[in-house]
Amino acid sequence: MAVIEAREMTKTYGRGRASSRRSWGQPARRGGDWVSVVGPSGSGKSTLMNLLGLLDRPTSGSYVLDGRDVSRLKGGELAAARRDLIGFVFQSYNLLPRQSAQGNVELPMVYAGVRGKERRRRAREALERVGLANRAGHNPTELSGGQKQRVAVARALVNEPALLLADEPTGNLDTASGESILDLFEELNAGGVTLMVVTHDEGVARRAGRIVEIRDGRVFSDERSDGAGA
Amino acid sequence: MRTLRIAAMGLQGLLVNWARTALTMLGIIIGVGAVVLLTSLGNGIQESISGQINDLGPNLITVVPGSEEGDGGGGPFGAAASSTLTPEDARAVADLPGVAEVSSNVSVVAPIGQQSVSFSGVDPSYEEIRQVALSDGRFVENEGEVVLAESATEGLVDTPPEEAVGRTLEIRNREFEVVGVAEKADPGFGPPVPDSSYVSTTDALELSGNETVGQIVVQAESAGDVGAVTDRIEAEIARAHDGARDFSVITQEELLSTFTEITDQLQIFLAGIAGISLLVGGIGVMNIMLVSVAERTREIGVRKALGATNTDVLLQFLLEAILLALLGGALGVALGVAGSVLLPRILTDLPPAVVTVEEVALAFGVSALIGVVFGVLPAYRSARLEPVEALRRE
Ligand SMILES: Nc1ncnc2c1ncn2[C@@H]1O[C@H](COP(=O)(O)OP(=O)(O)O)[C@@H](O)[C@H]1O
Ligand SMILES: [Mg+2]
Repeated sequence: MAVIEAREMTKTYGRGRASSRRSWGQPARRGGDWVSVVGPSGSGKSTLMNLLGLLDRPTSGSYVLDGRDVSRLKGGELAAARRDLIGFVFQSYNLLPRQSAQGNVELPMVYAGVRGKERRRRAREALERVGLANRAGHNPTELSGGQKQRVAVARALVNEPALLLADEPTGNLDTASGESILDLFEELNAGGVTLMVVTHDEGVARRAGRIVEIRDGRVFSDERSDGAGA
Repeated sequence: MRTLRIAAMGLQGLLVNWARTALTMLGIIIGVGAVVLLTSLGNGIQESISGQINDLGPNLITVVPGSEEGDGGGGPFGAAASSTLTPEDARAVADLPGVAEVSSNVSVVAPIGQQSVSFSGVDPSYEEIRQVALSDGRFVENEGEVVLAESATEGLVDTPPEEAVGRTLEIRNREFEVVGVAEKADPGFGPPVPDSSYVSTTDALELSGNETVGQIVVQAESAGDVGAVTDRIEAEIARAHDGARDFSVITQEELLSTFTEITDQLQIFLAGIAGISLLVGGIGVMNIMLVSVAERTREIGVRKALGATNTDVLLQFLLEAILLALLGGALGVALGVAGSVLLPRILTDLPPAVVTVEEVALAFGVSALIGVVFGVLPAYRSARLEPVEALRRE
C-alpha cells in the first residue's frame, strides 16, 4: 500500500519561492521503502518534508497519508495524525533539554494516552533498539550528538508510525556517528520501517533504494538506486 | 489518565525550570506580600484609633441637661444644680430596648478633713460604660463605699495608693470604706474622662443635697443601635419631663466619623502603594514569561510535532501558571502576615496590624490572575502557530 500520495501539492511563502510537487507516480510503500530526497540547498527539501510530516499546511493540493486524506484535517485530528502516522527526526535533534532520554521517548506516548507502565516499557525497548538502553536516565546535555540523534530516532519510532521522516539527520554529526545512524536506519528499514531521508550528501542518499531529486521547488527526477551506499 | 499525565508535565515544567520558577514567584511574592502587609498595617492604625475612641466607653450615649450643649446645665460634667435629670430618668432609660447599661453621674465636692475632694456619684454599671480602670480593689457597688482617684489618695490616707483599699474615710460624719483605687485616666480623644473619685449615686445625692443628676451615661447594646436608642432615650425622657426638651443626647458617632474619614484616606494611600507593588510584581512576572517564550515556543513546536493538541499544550501551561501563582501567592501571604506580626514589634510606635481574610483573598486572587494571564497568554499565542513556525524559533 502507498504510504504517501501527494497530488499537485504546493506551498507558497508570502512573496517568496514556491516549492511544489507534481503527482508522485511511485509513492513510498508501507513496510519497506527507503526514499532519499536530494537537492541543492534552498531547493525546497525541508519544505517538502514539513508538508509531508504535517508540520506545515500546503497552499494547495491533496495529500493522502497511509490511506487517509489528511489535507483538510484540523486541530485535534491533525495532531492525532502526526502522533499516529509520522515520526520525525530533525537535524538539530529537538529533544526537550531538561528531560531524560527516557522522558523524551515517552513523550509521544503521553499524547497517545499510553498508560504509565506500558509507556515506560515501550520507551525502554525503543532505547534498546537504538542501542541506548544504558543511557535512559541521561539528559540530552550528557549525550553526544550521535546519541542524541539515536534518542530522537527512538522517540520517532515509539508510536510505530507509518512513515519515518528525517531532515538532514546526519547534518550535525561527524562521519562515524552519521554512519552509525545510517546503519541504524538500514536495520529499521530491514525490519519494515518506511523511511524518507532528506540529505544533500550523495553518499547518504545512495543508501536508499530510491532517490528523488528536487530542484527549484519541484521534483526533478525519481530514480531507483541499488541501495548499496557509497 | 492522559489528561492527568499532561497536567503533571506542568508541575515538571516548574521543577526543571527552577530558576525561572523562583524568579517569577519572587515577583508574585513581593506583590502579594506588600498588599497583605500594607493593608494590615492600615487596618491596625484604623482599629487603634477607633479603639481609642471606643475606650471612652463602647457605644456611649450621654444625656446632659440643657437643650443644647453648654446651655443651662453647664455641660456634660457640670454641677447638677440646674439639671432636671433625675435618677428616675436613668431607671426609665434602662428599660428601653437596645440599652445595655445606664448610670447616673452626679458631681459633688465633699470635705474630708481639711480637704475638699470632688466625687462622681455613679451606679455600679458606670465602670463598664466608661471603662473605668482600677489599679486596685473593685468599683463602688454599695452605699458607704468609695473608690479613690490615685491622685487623691495622697493626704487622705497615710499609706501609698497600693495599700489604700480597706481604709475608712469620714465624710460629713459618715464612715466610708475605700474599696478601690482608680487609675489616672488617659484623656485620649473627646470629652475628658475626669481623674475622679467615685461614690454611689445615692450617697452623692445625699452629700450634695440635690435630687437631680448632672448626667446620664448609656451604653447601647450594639454600635448599629446607637441611632435608634438615642431616639428612644429622647422620647422617653421628654415624656417623663412632660414634653420639655430640657436635656440633650450626645453620641460618639460624630467623633468616630471624623476619625474614620482620616483613617480611610490613610487606607486608600497604603492600598495605592500596595497596588503599585503588585503591579511591579506583575510586570516582573510578565517580563520573565515573555523572555522564556522563545525557548518555550520551540518546546511547544516539538510537543506538537510529537502529537500534542493545542489543548494539551495549553493545559500544561495553564497548570504550570496556576501552580506558580498559587505557590507564589501562598508564600506572599505568609510573608505579608509574618511582616504584619513582626513589624509592629520592631517599630513599637505602630499599632498591631490587623490581617483580614478579604484583603488576603483579594491579593491572592489578583496575583493568581496575573500569573495565569501572563503565563498562559504567550503559550496560547505559541500554541496556535504551525509546528514548523514554532520549531523555527530559537
Ligand atoms: N518560512 C519561510 N518563509 C519564506 N520563505 C521560506 C520559508 N521557509 C523556506 N522558505 C524558502 O523556501 C525555499 C525552500 O527552502 P527549504 O525547504 O528550507 O530548502 P532546503 O531544505 O532544500 O534547503 C527557500 O528559498 C527558502 O528561502
Ligand atoms: Mg533544509
